[in-house]
Amino acid sequence: MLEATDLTKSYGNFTALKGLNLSVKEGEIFCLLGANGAGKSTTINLFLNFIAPSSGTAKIQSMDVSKHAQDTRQLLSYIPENLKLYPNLTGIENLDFFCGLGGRTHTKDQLEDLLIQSGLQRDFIHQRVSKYSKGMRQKVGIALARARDARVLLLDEPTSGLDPKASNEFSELLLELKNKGVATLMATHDLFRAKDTGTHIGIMKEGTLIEQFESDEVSFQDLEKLYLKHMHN
Amino acid sequence: MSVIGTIARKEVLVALRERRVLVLGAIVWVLLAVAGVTGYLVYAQQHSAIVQTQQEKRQEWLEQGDKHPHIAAHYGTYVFKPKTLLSLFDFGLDAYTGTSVYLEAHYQHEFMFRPAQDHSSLIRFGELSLALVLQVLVPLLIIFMSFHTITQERETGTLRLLISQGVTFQQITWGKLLAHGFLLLSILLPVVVGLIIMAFLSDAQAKMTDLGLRSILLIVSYTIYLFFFLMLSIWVSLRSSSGRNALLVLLSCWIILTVLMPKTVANVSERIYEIPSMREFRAAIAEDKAHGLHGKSTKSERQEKLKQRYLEEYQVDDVQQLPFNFEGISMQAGEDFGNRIYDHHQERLRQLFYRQNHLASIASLLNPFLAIRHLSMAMAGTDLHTFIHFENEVEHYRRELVRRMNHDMAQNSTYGKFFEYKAGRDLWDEIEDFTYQTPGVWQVVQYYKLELISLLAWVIVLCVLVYYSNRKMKPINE
Amino acid sequence: MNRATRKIIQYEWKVFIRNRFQLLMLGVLFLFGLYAIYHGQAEIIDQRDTINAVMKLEQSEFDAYKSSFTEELKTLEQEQTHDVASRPAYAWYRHGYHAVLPPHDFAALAIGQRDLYRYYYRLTAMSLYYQLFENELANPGNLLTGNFDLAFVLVYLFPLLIIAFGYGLYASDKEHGILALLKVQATSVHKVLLIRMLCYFTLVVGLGLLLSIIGLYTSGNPLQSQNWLPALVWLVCVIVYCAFWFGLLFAIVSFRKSSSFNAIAAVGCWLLFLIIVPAVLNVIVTTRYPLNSVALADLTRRTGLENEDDKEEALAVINEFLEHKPELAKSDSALEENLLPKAYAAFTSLKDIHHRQEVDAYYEGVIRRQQWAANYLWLSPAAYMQEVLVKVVDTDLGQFLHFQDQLVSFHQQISDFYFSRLFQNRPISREDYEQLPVFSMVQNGNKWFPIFKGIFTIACAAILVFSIGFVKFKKEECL
Repeated sequence: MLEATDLTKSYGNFTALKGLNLSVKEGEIFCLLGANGAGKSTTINLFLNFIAPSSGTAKIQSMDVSKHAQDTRQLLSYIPENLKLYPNLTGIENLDFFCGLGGRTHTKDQLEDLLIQSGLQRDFIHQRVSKYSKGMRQKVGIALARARDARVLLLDEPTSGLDPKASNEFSELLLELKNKGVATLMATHDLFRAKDTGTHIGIMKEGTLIEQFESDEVSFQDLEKLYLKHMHN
Repeated sequence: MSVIGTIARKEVLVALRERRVLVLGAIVWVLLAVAGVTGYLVYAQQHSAIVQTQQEKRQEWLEQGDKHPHIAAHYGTYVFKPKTLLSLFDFGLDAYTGTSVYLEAHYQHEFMFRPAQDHSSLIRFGELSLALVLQVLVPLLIIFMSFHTITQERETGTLRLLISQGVTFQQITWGKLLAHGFLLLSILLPVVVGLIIMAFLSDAQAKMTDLGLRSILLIVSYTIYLFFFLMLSIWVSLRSSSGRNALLVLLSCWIILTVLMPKTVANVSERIYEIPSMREFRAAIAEDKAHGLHGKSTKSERQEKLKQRYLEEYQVDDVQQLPFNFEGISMQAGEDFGNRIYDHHQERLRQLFYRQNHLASIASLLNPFLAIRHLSMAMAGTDLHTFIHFENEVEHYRRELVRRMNHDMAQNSTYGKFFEYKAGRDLWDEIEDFTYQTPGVWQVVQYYKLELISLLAWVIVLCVLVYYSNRKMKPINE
Repeated sequence: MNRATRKIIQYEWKVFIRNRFQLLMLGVLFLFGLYAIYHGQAEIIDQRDTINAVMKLEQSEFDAYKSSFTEELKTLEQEQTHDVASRPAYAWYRHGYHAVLPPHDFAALAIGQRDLYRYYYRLTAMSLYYQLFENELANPGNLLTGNFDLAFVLVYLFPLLIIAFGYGLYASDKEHGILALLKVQATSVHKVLLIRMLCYFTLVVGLGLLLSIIGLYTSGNPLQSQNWLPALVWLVCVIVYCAFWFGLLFAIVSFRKSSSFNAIAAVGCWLLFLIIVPAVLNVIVTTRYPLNSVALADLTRRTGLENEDDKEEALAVINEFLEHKPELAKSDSALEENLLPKAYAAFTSLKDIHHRQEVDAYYEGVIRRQQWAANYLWLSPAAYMQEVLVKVVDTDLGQFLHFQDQLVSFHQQISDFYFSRLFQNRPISREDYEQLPVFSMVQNGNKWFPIFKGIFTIACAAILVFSIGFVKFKKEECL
């Protein structure tokens, strides 16, 4: 589903991403670990075609995203670190709006169901988003991914700043989507969450993917040691 | 529903919930209402005063009693500049062109009484008219309404979310344009409806030709003008990294376009093409009347020549033997000569005005505000060209009146016996009352080609800019 | 000045110098100011040239009359000139005297109504109203746009500079997250803000004073006895007006909203004071006090006697006039000489006498308008400041109305001079030319009171807005 081939992004002399090769298949959750500035967000942004690659290609369902930006975006759903919605619209209105952009129409009941399935409390559905906590907004993001039938999920540190309970709920939702065959690429700092939720883990450093393995291959302690070892060098 | 429609609908919904648009809209409404009502009151007051006085003057002319035609020509009459119905929309130059003129034999009086002279220097700040609101204040409303429409999405991050849904920048921009255009239209709808009702239901058609067409042209040109500001605001918002920057850029543009540039252009033109003082103007005319154009012939020489011509033509030795009163002929010849001199000098003066205004027209290529200001006055019939057309009609009427008087004198009186002949009501009735109709709108608009080009060109330029910016735009700054 | 204050000023200066945009604005405004001074002076020089030209014309006209008494009269033209010079029957309507309102030395800095009103009149003893209403030539489009003089730069553009410098002073610290750091320092936030505002105040006022001093020095000598007070008051106006806008900005900033909000609010105030309030006042004045100049138009009509052959009619007119001017009356038989010129002189004078009320009523209407508007000027300190500035340099409406008032008595003086000779059948002698009527403008006595009142009002407004800001800041700081 998601495939990066020699993907490189440089800004002048500075190379943010060096020859990344990576692939995420259906039903996989690929977690990118790494320090700030390691190139995780750059990777996500390249898949979104928010920025153009300097060389190499990023493909979604075998389509080059820089050539088929609109088509590939139809397949994906994106949740940034801090999902911002329109504060003066209610949760359901936001959802309705963003679904409408993809050309999908849902009845009001369907939208309500989607929000509730994504864990939003019923009382808040018709309240303005300005009253939402961050976790509630992320849940609207998940509802959006469901509503859009997204085949690919791009997540940029979605759980940072969430309390453990909210974070846990979020992971459960991801697993649910995974079981439906969604391919997920998630940038995160949270080693525990990566080990727990991810099917695959990659460690990035200074724009390079220096290590990737299946999460079952390592224990949590090993993962932490490995990660710290790379960070200290 | 299409994506553009979805975005536009959301934009309107958010704008209505934010109340800011409502407050701004309410302010504009109040100003429009005050401008409309006072504009109408001023129009009605002045219109009825002028109609009434014009009738009085007509009666005075008709009932002046029996007198010698030349004395009647000196008694003369008055013409008052009629208010056009659309002047309640755009006062234009009405406060600065004179309102009344005295028509008399031998002498072209200038228009007297500029209404602005009855005010303190406060008048120089301008008067509140619908045109002022639409030209100056509504663009500011647009800026306040739209400056952060895209920067806000960028700053809060919703822009990324939008783009990740597969929406293009073109769709976002045009959706917003549609939404803001709709909001603006709903705020300004009363003006549009008011103008149309006024144009098609009022009985002022007689005074102003093409009233309906003029109103429609006004609506169209203001739509283009406001669309320009809308496009500008959205384009700047698209290109700016923050709302603060967008606002700063847009406000600078607004100040330069509406305050700084018009004044500078007018004052520079005043310096380049200097207008003579009234004293010099009159002195030059008097000089040419006495000594002929370029000092060719004195008055007595010209009179002698005229006399000889008539004596030869009618084969007589003395003017008293002519079958008509030679005084009438010589009076008319003097009148014609004076008119030629006057036309010469007035044409020179008008050329100066035209050149000054042409400079402003050229400047309007850079400034849509100047373009709409000129066009609006032209369509409302309150611009310089309409005034000059009116001046010409008045002068034409004066000449006809004097000519008829001189002709009557030549036909009916005897040489050298000035006070013996008296004409009466029959002759006065022969002079038709002065009526004025504004020139056709196309006739006036042809003076404003540059302004039309400017408005259209700016909108096209901005469309192109928006289009290209949209294509290159990315949701995050690299 | 303690060390913290010095530090703040030092760093504000550094920030200011590094902001190219602000420096550019300052420079551009300075250039605009210079252009405005140039334009105003060019306008006033034109007017002075015109005044000189008309005075020269008058001089040569009277020189010709005077010399016709002494030189030999050879040609017909010379004889005619002598007739006009010596016989009141011709002289009374042909000798023209110029009444001139010379521009104040500093009029170039605030042209006011000077381009709209006439500043010179040529008066003969004929009906005053034939001569009063002719306008000066002007392009109405440019009149509408108005003058780019220093007063415009100060009143319109300086507030914008102040807004541009000040709108982000507190808000941008907040937006960039520096505010939290500032708050924990020993110097209170509002003191920091005040010091920074004071820096910009010094800068802007400095620019305003610099431009004004350049303008004042190049337009006239401010140290001359009649000039030092206007010059001083002008400078005070600059300071007070800038203080008002800084105070207003301080008040807006004290609400602690975003910088965009501050900019919108400040520009909104600018719009209110410079466009909306004056524009609304103007239309209200027009509708509330309608003035019908069309009624006055009739006074300019060149009417005459019904029948010039009718001696009775002529005598009747003369006698009616002499009832108003008994000192001119002589025996009836003495009237026979020059009967028709006397009748015409009487006729036009009677016209003035009969219509004085109408004209006075009209100008009272103008004054009522002016007074009504003056009562509401405090609604817009900007419009008020403009009014004060034009008053300082004598280019306000009041000055022109006063000038027209004086014309009436000058015209009376001219009429008396000629009519006394015409009606008493005395020729004009060469000696009479040494005591011709002369126009002298009696200055308005209470020029300065309204000016000081205006400055005081604007100063109060400045204090008011500043206090609002101060109180608001204090209150929030306590929380």
